[in-house]
Amino acid sequence: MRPDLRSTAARLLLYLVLSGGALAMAFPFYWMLATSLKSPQEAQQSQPVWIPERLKAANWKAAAQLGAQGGSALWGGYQAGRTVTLRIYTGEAGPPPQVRIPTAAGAFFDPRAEGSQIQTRFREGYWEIAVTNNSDQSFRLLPLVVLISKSYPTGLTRPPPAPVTEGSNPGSAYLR
Amino acid sequence: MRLGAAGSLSYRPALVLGAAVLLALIRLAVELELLPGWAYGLGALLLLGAALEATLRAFRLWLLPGLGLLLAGVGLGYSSFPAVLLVLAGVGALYLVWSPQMSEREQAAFWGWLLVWPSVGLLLVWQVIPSLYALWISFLDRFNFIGESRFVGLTNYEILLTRDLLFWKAIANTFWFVIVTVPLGIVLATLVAILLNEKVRLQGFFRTLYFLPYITALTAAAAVWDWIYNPEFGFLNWLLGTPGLDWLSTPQGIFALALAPLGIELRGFWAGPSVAFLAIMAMSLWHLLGYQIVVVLAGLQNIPKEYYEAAQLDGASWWQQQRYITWPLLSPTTFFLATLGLIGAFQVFTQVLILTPTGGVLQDTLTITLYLYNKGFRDSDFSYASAIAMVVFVVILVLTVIQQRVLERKVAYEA
Repeated sequence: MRPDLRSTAARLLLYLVLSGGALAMAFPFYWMLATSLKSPQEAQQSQPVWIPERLKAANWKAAAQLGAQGGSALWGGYQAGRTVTLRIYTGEAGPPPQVRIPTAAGAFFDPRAEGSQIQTRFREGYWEIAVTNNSDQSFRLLPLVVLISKSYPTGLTRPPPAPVTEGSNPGSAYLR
Repeated sequence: MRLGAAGSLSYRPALVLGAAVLLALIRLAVELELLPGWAYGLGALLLLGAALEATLRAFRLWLLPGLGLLLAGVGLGYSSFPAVLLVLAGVGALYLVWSPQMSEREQAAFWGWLLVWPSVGLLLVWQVIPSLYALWISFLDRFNFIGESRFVGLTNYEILLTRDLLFWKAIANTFWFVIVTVPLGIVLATLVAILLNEKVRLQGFFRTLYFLPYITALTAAAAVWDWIYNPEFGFLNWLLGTPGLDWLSTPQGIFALALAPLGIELRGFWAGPSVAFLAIMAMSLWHLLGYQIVVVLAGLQNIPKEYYEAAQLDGASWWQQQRYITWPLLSPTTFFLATLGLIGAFQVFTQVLILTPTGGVLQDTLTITLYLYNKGFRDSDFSYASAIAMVVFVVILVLTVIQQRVLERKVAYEA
């Protein structure tokens, strides 16, 4: 028989030490896994991001719903006659957001921009942007630019991408 | 039927076989332009001499086809490399005639050598000959595989041991790495293994978690730790509340830092490993701990449970059981880990290169293998790098021998 730890306190201590050690051992591994799923913006936060946005089920659900509006829940798309609705939560109704579909420089005609109808309207607490494909063509992708007024309180939208400076950290510059 | 003692073959067939395999290896080296052409002639002379001597000892007419094959292989081997394999066929043919007059022991020796030669050949090609080649290179002047270089004798060693301050810096750093990581790793692993060996729930889960770091590629793990140590976005700085602390670029020695408030100023070796190097040591400990735990766990399973039962009957406490039963009976395992750990720690390279590619600020994380790599592959001075390799080899050898002599006395091999 192995040496037995009889008292409850000793057993508690045993589990505490084992769990603490396991946590310390597993943390860098988890961090590797989590960082591999982060966007560069998420990875470069001074506050740790424990669960990357891409891992959260709610985001997958939202993406599937948005995809279903445009064509298929799995593959998305922007099919003829479909309407895709986006929301920007602002709290109060300020100046409406400016929405446009950018066209390639030098293109005479862009079926996406010409054939789309854009509607913005304020609902309870959020701006709703509905983009309807009125052309008879289907598309895989829809580029969209949304400009929002600076008069809204900051922190509404995602911060702009932090400049990814190659070589700011000698160790990482060596790898990439 | 055996012939008289005068005509006895003894172990000559095995000798002929060895000469034939060596000839094939020499021909390969000549093909790769590692050896001059006359080396093949020398090998051929050796083989033919051995074969003729054995043939004349107990001559039979049926030996002639084998000899013919042998001669054909040697002759054709001059012009085309694969033809030299005919020599081996010749040895086979000779053996067919020889075997009836050989004792069972002698036949076994021949077959033993035949089966051993493939691995001995591989060892020669990939381990022994490159090591000897490195030894030869270390006597040349700045050999770089391209230009000419002349023989300079022990000059590289003279520079290395008497004038190269960086080499001694690297030796001191490596020494600190060994001193810190090897004992600490063994103690931590023993502690965790003893706890894991208790009757705990989720035992497999815990063991998996502890083993996880070891199965990640060292390069990838080092890159993750680089991110954890990052001064701006690193997790460690968030955890400790020390934003902006650049762990991997802090060259102050830890002893010097600890004693600075007391007014004691330590310099050089006695300043201790730098903060950056300590960060690398932590990463290395983390990576290797899982492996060490598995080894210690295997050692723990070997300790008979009767000892613990007897100790419990005598009223020994849990701590006493560990101190007087587990630790002494675990000594073969800890000795094994100490030996392998010493050798491995002396060759630490990957994590140092990934975390501090330049060898750190003021070369505070320069280890001996990183220095070797820099000399060879950055400065294209393979002679100097080989000299470093030879010195490191001797240092590891001496330390391991001392370890065997001193520590092994305390090892209890029989439970």
